[in-house]
Amino acid sequence: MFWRRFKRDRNAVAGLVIITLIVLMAVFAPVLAPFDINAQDLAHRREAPSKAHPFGTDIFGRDILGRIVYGARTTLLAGVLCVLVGGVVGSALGLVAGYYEGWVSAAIMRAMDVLLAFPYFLLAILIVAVLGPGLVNAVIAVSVTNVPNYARVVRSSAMVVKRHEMIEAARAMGASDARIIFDHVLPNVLAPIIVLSTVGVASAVISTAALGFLGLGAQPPTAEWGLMLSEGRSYITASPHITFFPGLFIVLLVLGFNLLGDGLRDILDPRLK
Amino acid sequence: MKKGLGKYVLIRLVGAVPLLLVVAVIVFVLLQYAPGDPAELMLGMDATPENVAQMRVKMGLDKPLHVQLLRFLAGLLRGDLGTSWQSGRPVAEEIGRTLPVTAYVSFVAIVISSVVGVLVGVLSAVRQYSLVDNIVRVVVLAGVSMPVFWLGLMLIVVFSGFLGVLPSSGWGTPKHLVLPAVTLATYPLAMITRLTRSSMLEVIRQDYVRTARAKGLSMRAVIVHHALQNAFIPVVTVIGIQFGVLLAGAVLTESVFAIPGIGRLTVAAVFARDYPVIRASVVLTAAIFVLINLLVDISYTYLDPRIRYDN
Repeated sequence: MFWRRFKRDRNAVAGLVIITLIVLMAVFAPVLAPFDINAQDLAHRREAPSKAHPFGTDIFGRDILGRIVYGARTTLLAGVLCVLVGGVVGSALGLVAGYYEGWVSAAIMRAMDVLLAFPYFLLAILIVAVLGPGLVNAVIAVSVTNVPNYARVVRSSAMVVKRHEMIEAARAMGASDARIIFDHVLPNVLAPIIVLSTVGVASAVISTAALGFLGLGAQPPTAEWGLMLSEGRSYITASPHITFFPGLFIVLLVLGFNLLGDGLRDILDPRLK
Repeated sequence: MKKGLGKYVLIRLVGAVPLLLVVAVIVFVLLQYAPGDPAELMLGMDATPENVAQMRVKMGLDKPLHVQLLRFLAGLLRGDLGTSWQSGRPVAEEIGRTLPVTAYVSFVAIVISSVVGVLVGVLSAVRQYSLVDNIVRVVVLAGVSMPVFWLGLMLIVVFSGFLGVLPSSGWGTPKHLVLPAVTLATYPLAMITRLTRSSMLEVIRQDYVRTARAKGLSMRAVIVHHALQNAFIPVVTVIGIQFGVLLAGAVLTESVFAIPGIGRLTVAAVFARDYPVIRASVVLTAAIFVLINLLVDISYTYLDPRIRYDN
């Protein structure tokens, strides 16, 4: 049923294909780029695309295609981690807030309001300012900014689910709160979580790349797409390829997750917009 | 003004004060956990312990933490934002210099994206599944998937590099405004177009639209007088939210085009560990964010007569 509807959605399929290709690229990076991607070759700096270097070389003479291939690992991992951490924490808070009304719910949601009062990217910058620049800290920062979104959506779904008769039945049979939450509420709020996570990877990829671009995320010589494109900034008009190609791959990856997310939303949860 | 609206606004404004105070406390406490001594950082490698001690007194860092916090909060409530550690100038002055720049670019960007987005969204909805509609949907998807900093750099490549018609960075002349405004407008434009389209599609199918058509009104009249007004309600929310996001997220565009806005001020302060500037700009941006949300809620009452605040 799910697959039949999925296959009919051309956008979702296109998104899945793009993501799969980039995942394959990340997995087989050592095969696709069987050389040291950090090896500098100062004699061949900022060379335009050629047969030897299809995407050209960067400011240190490193092969850009090879670095993009390896960069897929960094970027994918960072994007998925942000969503995993933010999604698990946010969903857990949302489940608890939705299941127990009263002061627990109020306390959690007030805390989420405070987080939401911070403009999204500014909060990420602030957290990195405290933890110090670096890829891991950038992932933590973006994860934290993601938490309230999941908490809100999951809470409102959980509040609907818990009024369902099956919950009453489970309680009548003596199931504990924890058991009801995990066995009955969680499976019924999974659809919005999945939709939110898919689109969430897209925005997490952009945010971690943006922090990398500002010098607050991944640090040299890491091959991370946001950092790579920022390295070409000083030569933007003379050697645009240094900036163009890493950015193009960010667009592709983000596009893939947006397409897939839109498709999943139509299939799984038509009420969400 | 609508009945009860004044009271509602007052309640919301009063409610925003504790929220922003909590934000201020969080910012303050978080920065305390940042590694390193700001006084040592300010003085550099070869400062003597005496120099550092003097500097700590000057920066107010010798006081107990709760005293520092209370001073900061009391200052905020009085409108005193403190002094920048780096420049030695009042933070209010630094923000007064940079915030108008960010507000100006963001405003131009949101006007562009609202006008174009609503027009294109309506057109796309009215001609659903036409060639125009399909092109619009692809462009919208590309628009939301593009990192704003990459788009800005690519515009520089084309318009400053190849064509040489617009400056790549700097601030001051109308020409300097074009690329940043277009860059900044892209994401909200895509969001507004997408929402106007879907909202319009929903409204077109309503009974009152069919009734209006049935009594002989032209499609144009129905769209302008009946459909648009109702389709506009969710669009206003998005415009408001996007404007807030622009103000806070302009840091990337400002960095790309070297625009002296509040975003760049904040990032520079992060690198320099200039706590007074970081605190003030974060709290102030959050305040603007909250205020814009309030304005959006108020605008509902004018657009949707069903929404009232008098009970």
